Amino acid sequence: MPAESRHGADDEPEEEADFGRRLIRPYAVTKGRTRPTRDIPIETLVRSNTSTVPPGLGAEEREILSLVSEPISVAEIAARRGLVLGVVRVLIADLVQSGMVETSEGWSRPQSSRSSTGAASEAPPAPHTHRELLERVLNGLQSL
Amino acid sequence: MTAQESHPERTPLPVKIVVAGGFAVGKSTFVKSISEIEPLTTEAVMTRASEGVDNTGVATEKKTTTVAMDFGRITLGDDLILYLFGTPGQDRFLFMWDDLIRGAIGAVVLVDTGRLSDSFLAVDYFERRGIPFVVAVNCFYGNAYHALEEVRDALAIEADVPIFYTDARMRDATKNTLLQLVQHALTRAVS
Repeated sequence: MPAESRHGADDEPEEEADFGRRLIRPYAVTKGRTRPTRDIPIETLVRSNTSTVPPGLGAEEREILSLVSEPISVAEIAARRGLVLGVVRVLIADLVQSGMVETSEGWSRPQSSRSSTGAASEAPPAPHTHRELLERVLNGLQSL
Repeated sequence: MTAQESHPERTPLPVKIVVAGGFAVGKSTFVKSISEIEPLTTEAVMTRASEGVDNTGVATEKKTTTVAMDFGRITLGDDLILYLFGTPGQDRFLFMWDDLIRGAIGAVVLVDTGRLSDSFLAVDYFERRGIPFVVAVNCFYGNAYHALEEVRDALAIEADVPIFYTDARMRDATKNTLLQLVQHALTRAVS
């Protein structure tokens, strides 16, 4: 098995379907659900929206909540908790639904266009907004 | 840190740039050179029916594959967080790229001139989808074996796609690469 999916010269060999070290199948914690109830891009920032953790909340959801007092991305949550991306997406969608976390998908949407369904749009931002965003990124990089 | 009616907390926006290129071209090094965190690895599990060649004849056989992606983070000012995602290197993980590239500012294609053909996949992918990209020729030891225009010709990239040398180990070179990409994306957004 070539080590190519973990790119980089100093990388470890790729693991294929090595669930042994996790002891359980990755999607067991989502009760087998593989599709989140909303679209959550990998870079979406997640932040806790609650100071109380309801009893009965699953261990993984608790762990996620403990990570998000400051906004961090879905990818970081997955990496830091050792959960696969798809699992984290399902769990975060659940937490959004129950109002326990907020995401950048929510807070970045202009107030006027916030849809009540909560279904995140995949559409890129309007051109002028996108341009504005690019300019801010450029300025930010320049001042690094 | 109680829940409040309005949120005085930070509400930064995430932005992302994808770093592509052949195996061991220096994507991880590139990300590491500028990331404010030790680069992390996130894994995705893919389950799909296995196709053709190595199938032993059982039509319903499913194959589960773990794809690993490295990424780093750069906070830009108070309100932007830039993520750099390295693409999984092999053709058979191309389907992961759609997920990675969605909403991205654009892509950096890192090129090793010793193995130009390793970059064809990435160049082709971004061209087809109209995603802004730049080609950064990685010179690990300050050696450029090919002139940039030769590389442009070999990769058959359009004249308006920026191509330049970089050194994935050096923060300033990486920063400059990212600046060139954002600048290019901006130019494309105007026209």
